[in-house]
Amino acid sequence: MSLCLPAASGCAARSSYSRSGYSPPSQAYAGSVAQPQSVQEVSVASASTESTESESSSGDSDESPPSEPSADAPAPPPPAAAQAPARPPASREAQAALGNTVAHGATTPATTTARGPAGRTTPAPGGAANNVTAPAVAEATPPAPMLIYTAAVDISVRRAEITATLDRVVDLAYSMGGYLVQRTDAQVQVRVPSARFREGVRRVEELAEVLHRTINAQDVSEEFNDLEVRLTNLRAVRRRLEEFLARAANVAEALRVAQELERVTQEMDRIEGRMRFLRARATFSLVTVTAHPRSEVVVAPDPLPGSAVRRPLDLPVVWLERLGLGRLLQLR
Amino acid sequence: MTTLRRLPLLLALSLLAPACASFHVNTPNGFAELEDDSRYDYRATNADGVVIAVRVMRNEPEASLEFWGRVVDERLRRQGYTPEGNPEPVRSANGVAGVMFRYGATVGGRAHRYQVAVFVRAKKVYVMEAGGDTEVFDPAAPAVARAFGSFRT
Repeated sequence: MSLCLPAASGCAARSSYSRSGYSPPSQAYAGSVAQPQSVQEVSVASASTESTESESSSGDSDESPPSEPSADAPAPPPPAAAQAPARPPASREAQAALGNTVAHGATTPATTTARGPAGRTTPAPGGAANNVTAPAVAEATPPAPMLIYTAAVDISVRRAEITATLDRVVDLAYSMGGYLVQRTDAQVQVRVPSARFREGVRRVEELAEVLHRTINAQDVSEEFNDLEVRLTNLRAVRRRLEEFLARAANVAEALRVAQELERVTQEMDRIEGRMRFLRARATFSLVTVTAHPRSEVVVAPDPLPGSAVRRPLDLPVVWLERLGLGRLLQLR
Repeated sequence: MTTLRRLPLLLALSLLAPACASFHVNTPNGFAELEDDSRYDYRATNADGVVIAVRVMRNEPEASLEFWGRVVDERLRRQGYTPEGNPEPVRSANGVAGVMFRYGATVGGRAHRYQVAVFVRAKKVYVMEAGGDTEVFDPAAPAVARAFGSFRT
């Protein structure tokens, strides 16, 4: 066998993994007021990704915490006769009942001051009454964005250590107050409290060599605000309907009002469910860890275990990394 | 006239010669050479999975046989290969000095043997490897030795 090689032979490009630059936000991810700048430091997922994430709750079968829900499923459509005429009066009545405080999202954070578990403003009971002194506060502190964080971390570990490493990820999640979502042979998904998201990602990265990581932040503040406003409106409508029902002159009128009352209640349930879902997603961040086996032949143990090892020569010569049985015996 | 016609061809060949890193290995009986192997410049295997291979690299950074021999040995030890015996000074069939290392290794829970010879010329480093499961490598050792002995740079 004779070969004549060009001069460039043997000069292969170095293969390396990409390690995306990630500067996590400088403060707790949720449960505090995150500044817009910090949100932009992380890569924001595309709209399609966000949609998948937020709507895939049914896939996370073993999620336990906050009752997440069936609320995502669309409510059954109301009878056609009741639907059309009901909406405009509902809105007018609601505004009248609340004294015109329900502008679309604008006054909500100020008028409702109770903070949810994810640091979001949530409707306070009797929220309409609180708006006497709130506008000044609203101008001083902008509402905290509701962010849903997800992280995907690819790690490289020895094949024999994949299971143990993924076990450690699960243990880590539990120790931080999180929980397991899904587990396969080489991948694990856990949720950790968003307030400890940054710490969680850092501790996961300490478990093994990181090949790649992606951090996404999905801002659902607008949707949450919309839901809050709609819920407030519907509460007012329900109150008025209940009053109408109490004053109904005959059975036919009572039936019509009861039908509308039922539709409004269903809509409120659906909105509350969706709000619970968003709050839960923002409260617990999803961390997906995928383990890739390190191609390595590991052989006899160190002849002098525990002995001090001097720093080895690390030449930037690619072919040295390709020596050994691992590649030699791989014929495909 | 004939000589004049061949002159451009001869000239082209003489220009190409310094850029070539040619070598020669006899593929032993019982082994089949693997064609189109982009990862090695030569690779052959027998039916039991004992593999012989050659790679030719630039001598960059330009260094001596002693340097490359130690670098290869250290790298393999660091990966966990256990040396079997001392490094052996060897020579290629055309007299180029080299050094051979033999190692034991465990792959997939089974004992394997691995040997590597390094030859250095001014611009090239030649690395000849052989390995396989100990159970099948030892019977094939004479054929492997013949292949190593036939290597010419």
